[in-house]
Amino acid sequence: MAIDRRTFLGGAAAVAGAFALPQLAQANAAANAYFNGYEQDNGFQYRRTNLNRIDPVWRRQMVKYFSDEPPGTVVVDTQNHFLYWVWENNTALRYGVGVGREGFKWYGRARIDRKALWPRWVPPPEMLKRQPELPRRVEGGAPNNPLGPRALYLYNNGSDTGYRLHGTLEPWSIGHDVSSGCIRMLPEDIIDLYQRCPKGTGVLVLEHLGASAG
Amino acid sequence: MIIVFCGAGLAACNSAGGISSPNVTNAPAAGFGQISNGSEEEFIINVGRRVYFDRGSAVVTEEAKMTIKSQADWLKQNKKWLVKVQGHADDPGSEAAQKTLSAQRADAVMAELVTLGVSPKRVWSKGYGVERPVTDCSSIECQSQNRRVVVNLREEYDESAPQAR
Repeated sequence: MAIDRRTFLGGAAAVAGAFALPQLAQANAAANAYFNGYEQDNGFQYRRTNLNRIDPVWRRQMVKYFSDEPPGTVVVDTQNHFLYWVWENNTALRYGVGVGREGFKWYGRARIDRKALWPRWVPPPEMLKRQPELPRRVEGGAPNNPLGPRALYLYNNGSDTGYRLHGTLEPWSIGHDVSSGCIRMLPEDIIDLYQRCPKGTGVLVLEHLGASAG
Repeated sequence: MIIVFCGAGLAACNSAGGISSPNVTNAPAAGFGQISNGSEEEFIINVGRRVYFDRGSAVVTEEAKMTIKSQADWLKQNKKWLVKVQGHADDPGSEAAQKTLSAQRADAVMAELVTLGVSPKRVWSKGYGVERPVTDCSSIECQSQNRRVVVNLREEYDESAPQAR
């Protein structure tokens, strides 16, 4: 079956192929409400998020934040689906995130040692095992690339943790635990964070207390 | 402090590798509750003030240009603001060398803003060298934050602005 762009953009349900056609149309309509147009970025485009459809709690905002982490640090709170970029005077810029199951397995300190614009996506073997219908590789900028416009790669003592901060095609997944992926953010937010975090930025990933690590 | 926050039940506490981080986070920061378009707060949240540099370099990177483009677009929309472009350094070399480097960084960002259409009358620059680190440690986590230029919105010229003389 040829999978067209619209089907892909319909979201997770469509990609998983779990819906019958009338339900698929309905899912597409519901998904489309999360977008309002397209935004051009470095030669590609992404679907602009309709922020009216996003719960205000998940929108980017400056909050009070008391922490020993120095300004410039990224703190990922997977349990509460927030990512903080620590700013000045006990404040932090807070973003809503979606968290993948893989994301729970790793916590601790890391560093952003690599950054990519419109990254290529290669599903890891364990994901392919669960979802054999997935493509083996999706080029950066392709409309079905789940990483979206940016990825920040987390390293620990020079080795890749396999853990990433990236965009999403599924804005409705922000604020939720989702079946796969690392830390996903609205495309506008991952672009914003990318600009605020130079290579070498420290990251603290908090333990996802109470969640199954399996 | 941490015990107070956790014990009082005001917020959840998380830990990672024995590191506790109080999570007293749900209140908007002062001035950021209701943000109006064209305000400094809006600039901070939607555009960002900081531009980063590579080690020992005052060359504006392609990545930095993306931020500067957003800054220039915003400044052209919001003409009431003056702009003090502040350079900083945390790089190898003497303090004097870093002062020079920080001024070169500030000048480079200022030039880029002007190239993108921000009136030169609105902008001035100053290098602070190592005086004002974001955070102070000898590892890359700190240094990468400190090798920066801050585009600071102002309502008036200060003594470092040639326009004021």
